[in-house]
Amino acid sequence: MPSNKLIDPKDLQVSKAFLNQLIDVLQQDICDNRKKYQLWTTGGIGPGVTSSYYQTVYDSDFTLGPSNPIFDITVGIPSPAVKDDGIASVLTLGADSGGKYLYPSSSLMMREKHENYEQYAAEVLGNNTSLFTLPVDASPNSSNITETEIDSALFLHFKRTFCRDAIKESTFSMGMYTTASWTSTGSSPYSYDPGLGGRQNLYSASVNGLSFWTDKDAPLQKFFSQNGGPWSYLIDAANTTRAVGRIYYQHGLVVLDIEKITSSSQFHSGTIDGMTPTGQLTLGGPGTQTAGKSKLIPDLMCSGSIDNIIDHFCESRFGCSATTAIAFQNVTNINSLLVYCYVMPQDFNVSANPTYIEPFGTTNAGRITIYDPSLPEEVQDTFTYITTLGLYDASGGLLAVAKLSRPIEKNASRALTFRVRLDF
Amino acid sequence: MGFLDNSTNNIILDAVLTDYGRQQLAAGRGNFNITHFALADDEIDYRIIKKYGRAVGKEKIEKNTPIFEALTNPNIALKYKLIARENTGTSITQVFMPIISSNPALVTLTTSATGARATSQNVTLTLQFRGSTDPAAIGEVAQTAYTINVSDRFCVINNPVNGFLTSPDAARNSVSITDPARMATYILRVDSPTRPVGFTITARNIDQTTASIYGKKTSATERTITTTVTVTGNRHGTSVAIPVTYTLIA
Repeated sequence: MPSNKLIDPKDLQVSKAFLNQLIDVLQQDICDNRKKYQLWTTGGIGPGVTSSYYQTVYDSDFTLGPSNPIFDITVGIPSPAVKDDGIASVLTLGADSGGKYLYPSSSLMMREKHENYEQYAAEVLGNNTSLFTLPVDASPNSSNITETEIDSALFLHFKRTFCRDAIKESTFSMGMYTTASWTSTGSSPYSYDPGLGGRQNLYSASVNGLSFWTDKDAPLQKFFSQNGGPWSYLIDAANTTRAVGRIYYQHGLVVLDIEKITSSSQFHSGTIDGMTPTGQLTLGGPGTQTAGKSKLIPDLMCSGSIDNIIDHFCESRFGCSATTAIAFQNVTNINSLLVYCYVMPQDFNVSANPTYIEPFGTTNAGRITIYDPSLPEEVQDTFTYITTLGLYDASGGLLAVAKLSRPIEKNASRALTFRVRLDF
Repeated sequence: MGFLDNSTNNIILDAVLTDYGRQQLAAGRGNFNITHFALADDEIDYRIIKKYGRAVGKEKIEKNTPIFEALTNPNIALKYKLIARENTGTSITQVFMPIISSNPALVTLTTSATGARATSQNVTLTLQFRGSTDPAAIGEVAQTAYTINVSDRFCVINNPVNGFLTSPDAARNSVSITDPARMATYILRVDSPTRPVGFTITARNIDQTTASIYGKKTSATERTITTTVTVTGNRHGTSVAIPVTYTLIA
């Protein structure tokens, strides 16, 4: 009386499916829920500066247990050795005998910004001396093959929890303010730059110049690289010939050209970290050399620590409201094992359920409970109900369990086929 | 959860991996090989058929029986399996199943923290078919092996009668580290299938902490623990549950 039935190896099939989920990232999460890893520190002048190499945006307060990291954000600048006409090459004092580039103390973390750029270049371009480039004309059928090199890069690296196996092509969209805040709120300490309405704007949420970057033409402009996998350009939704960045779908990586996504004419003001006796530097403050002069590129990009620059982007450029800043669909590849279990008419028509037989010590002990007294013994037909299916290995170990939604009758005149799916 | 396609007899089910299944996958040695399947009816109470008759009883079972979620503990995921009866072509009728009786029906043990008063009790299992224990009557349903499930935390099975038994050490190795009940499996292989078989249930020595967690205080110096030894025949799936009560004397 066997209770297990063999499965023919031919009845095990593997199939593949995809699951897409819509991911929304809110402005206020980017603005408020960022974790910093302040491992970088300076000594020497003043109290010193500490900064992270990158920050992580969470979907809620990261000090709480249920919060999930959404993406890492950081910035990068190629070194003068890679790009000899970039902002780093203008600023550098030259390289030492070991090849390490030296910079004036009014700048911060320049070598770390190089390392960030090089790390991502190595990861998706295959070489840490390669440069991210964008076409001058991103039209799919454009004959203009001229490209520009990204000199100031903003990297958004999405976590596996949200991008899963990949970001789905043609679904990515993000909104950013091309200008920092212009709104005046008046009194001190927002009094650095009268030209900006009397306030500092580095860490104030912007409300003007909202633009959208998207990969909506990805089906036409799909590329594949050996190291980066499938990727495409992010383009300005208002001008689809204008590429502003790249998106690497399987890496979950977005590379934005800061020159393309921000206004080049706006002045900035505010307090940043600095190698000064107070540990701070006033950028664009009244009466300073940079009053009415300092801009995002090159001033903040070179003088600010990585934390300063990320704080500016996250608190100013993405906005701080409850609206969506970034939206995309992810892709989860589901590999399913389909097991076909064939139940023949003669199979599984009696049960080991203790209620199936009259118990020991009673009249007719051992007789089936479903006995029909109106029929002779010879024509009594047994039946059972199926509620559970178990899959076993050769040693009798129970590997997987499937439940039915309701009991199904099994009797000697009924054959059934169970198609059991196991997802991996 | 299953979906029944009424146009065919195909039933589509989503399965979940058991703890053992995940262990086999994690081992990464290609041990995850599905070779068999089994069906079970844990939620069904067939006495409803007897109470209400076939027509109403079947309808009540089909429409009023809630199906629980799949369990990932392999020891309790499929408790009552469905069986394909062997077609012997002889006297086995459709209406009777062999049953196992235990003597004694209830086992009582005493133990103490020092082990000085640990006791054990012999159990005899008798197979009965159509009300008879006669070897001629049970010949066609006789068992060649029994599976004995017992909590390794409280009991040991040894001293087989009319058979060969898994050693306590080997049974302890069968305990899953993730099973809070610490269920051990013994196999009793029968020498003479038509004769009764037996074994001894011996109480393990347990400390006062374990006793206070699992035992009920019955006096100032005593705690009583109840557990169950389940014996299942290998050929028909019929089982007997032997309640074990034993008292820890401080």
